[in-house]
Amino acid sequence: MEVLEYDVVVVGSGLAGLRAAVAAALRGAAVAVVTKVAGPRSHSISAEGGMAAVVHPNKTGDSYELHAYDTVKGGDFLVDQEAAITLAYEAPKEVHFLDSIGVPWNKDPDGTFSLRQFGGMSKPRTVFAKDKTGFYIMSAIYKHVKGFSNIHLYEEHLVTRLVVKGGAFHGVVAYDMRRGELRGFAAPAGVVATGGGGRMYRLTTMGFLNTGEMYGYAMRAGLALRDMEFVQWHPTALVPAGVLISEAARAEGAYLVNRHGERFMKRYAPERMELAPRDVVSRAIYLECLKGNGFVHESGLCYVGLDIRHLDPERVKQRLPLLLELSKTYAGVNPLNELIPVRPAVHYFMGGIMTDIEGRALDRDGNWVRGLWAAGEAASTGVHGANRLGSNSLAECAVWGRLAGEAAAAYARGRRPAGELVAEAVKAEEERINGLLRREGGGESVRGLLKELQNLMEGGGGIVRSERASVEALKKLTDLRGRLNNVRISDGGRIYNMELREVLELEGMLLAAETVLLGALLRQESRGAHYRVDFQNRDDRRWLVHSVYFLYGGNVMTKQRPVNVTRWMPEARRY
Amino acid sequence: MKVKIHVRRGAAGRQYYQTYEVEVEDPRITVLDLLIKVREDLDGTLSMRYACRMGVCGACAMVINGVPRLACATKLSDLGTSEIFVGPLPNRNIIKDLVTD
Repeated sequence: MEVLEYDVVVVGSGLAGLRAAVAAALRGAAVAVVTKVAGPRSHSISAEGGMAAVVHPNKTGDSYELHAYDTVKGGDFLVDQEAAITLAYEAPKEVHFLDSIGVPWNKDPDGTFSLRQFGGMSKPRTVFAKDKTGFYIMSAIYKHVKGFSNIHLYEEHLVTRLVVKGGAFHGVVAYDMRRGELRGFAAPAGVVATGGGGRMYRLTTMGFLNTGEMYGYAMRAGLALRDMEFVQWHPTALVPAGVLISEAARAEGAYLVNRHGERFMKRYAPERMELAPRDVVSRAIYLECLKGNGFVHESGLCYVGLDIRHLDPERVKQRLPLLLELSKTYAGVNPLNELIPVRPAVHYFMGGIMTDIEGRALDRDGNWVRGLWAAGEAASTGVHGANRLGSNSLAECAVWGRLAGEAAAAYARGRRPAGELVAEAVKAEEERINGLLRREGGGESVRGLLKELQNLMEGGGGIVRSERASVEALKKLTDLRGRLNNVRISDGGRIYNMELREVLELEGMLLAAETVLLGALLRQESRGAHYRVDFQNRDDRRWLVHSVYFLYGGNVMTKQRPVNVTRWMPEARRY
Repeated sequence: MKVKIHVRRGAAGRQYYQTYEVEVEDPRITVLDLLIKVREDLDGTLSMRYACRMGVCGACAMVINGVPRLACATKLSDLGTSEIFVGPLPNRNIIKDLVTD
């Protein structure tokens, strides 16, 4: 058994994780990046449209405060407002940092950054690299990370346990898929940056590795989750595959039309039209389908058309090359003379591991679990509230990745890793996993259970929710949790055992799914991405509160915490 | 339509072909989706990499009918045959099945 010692262990290797690693390494820390992904393939690589940052306030009459206000309003006032201020002030620095390591941002002829206007943003303030922004960012930062001798990457290591004892973080245990062994990583400081959990749902823009097990593992380690009921559906996923068509298309002027050729957004968001926030547009598409105004795909899915035919083809080829490619490969259409078939799909989790504004990971009482930070989609800093604005997530990942990495390095200085505690945890985990591999009976297949999970989440935690549907889904989920004990792993080996990985993932996913459904059931109002047919209005008197989830005696429990309203009082949200 | 997929499996030095038969309705299905179908319905012990499934990340690069390509960006209809040979990328250390160092 092997336990490696570091100053800082970063879990996850998307933009938030790698940004944290770089920030910590620059402060002299020895950093381990432990990630289930191979190479720069975390889902940040699939980010398309861009990164929000007020880089040229004078060019557009923009300001940090306006970016923060848009974020607060976009999040339907469930945003911790000082977190939005942090995002707005820090994001431009990150654009310059990424510029310095070679991200080829689109620039205007005068040398300034090109800007796009995204949904819910009141100014053009999204910088971008064509419509493959994440690809360029991940390529650059991965290469940058490789240049640090004090950052070690441990790829295809699935972290199965966070080691927390006595209110402090001590390290992680990971299944090294390539060698088929467990490894411990002991470090006084850690950053969790494991991304979202779209694969809990059937229709998602997220990749196959975005399973969200860490949400569940974090609760097991005594951490709290917050606002998990807020799951973002991106309005324009390609039908039927669910592949993302960037909001950049609408930022460049694309229309959404129903089967009568009508730009239906005029009935839902008369001012902002297609550039209303994502929750508003996704709900509009859902309602158009309900009214029979949608097209019906051969797969049975209802969809609407994304129309770019009125845009200059040369400009489209220049600025949206990926959109053209994806439409052709995955829907067989040429967007220059056909409608692109799109519908909403799960895209982002506003909730996550509860942190304070500095990204410090908290327990259910709001106490810091010493030595531990969370960043990016895995975290809930409170910045997105009930709905994230497009292009705020790359900004979030870079900003809180850096803040967490810097703080973790400072914290680790002068502290020693507790190797023996982690060794004990590795031993316990070894036994647990041996048990899973040796289990004889049981006729359940992990992929069968995953499919059931995906269907029940759509039923009880979808775009439109109701008490009845959520209760129904929770019942089915309880049943699934029982059946998880009857899953048989048919692969008897330990090297690159994907079934073992899938079982471990599913354990965490089921816990995370329960928080989503519980929140969907308990929150008796409609706010942002959470829409209840039986409570259709926002209710600030009762529900201007965060939901907090934690494990108590093995069961998911919930409580509420106040929202940090410091600058802008809640107002009616019109677009 | 019945599709035969021959997958080169095993670790270095102990490789063999295993053949799976999958029923396909739509020839626009990608090779990645075919392999996922194999994993889901026939054989969960088959190891491979896949992540973004939209032709961006490159995780599912493999040799398909003699040519290195991305499984998620290669459609059955592109291949013009219902007999598919799939193997790991050449000149690399094989960890298991389609997964290389």
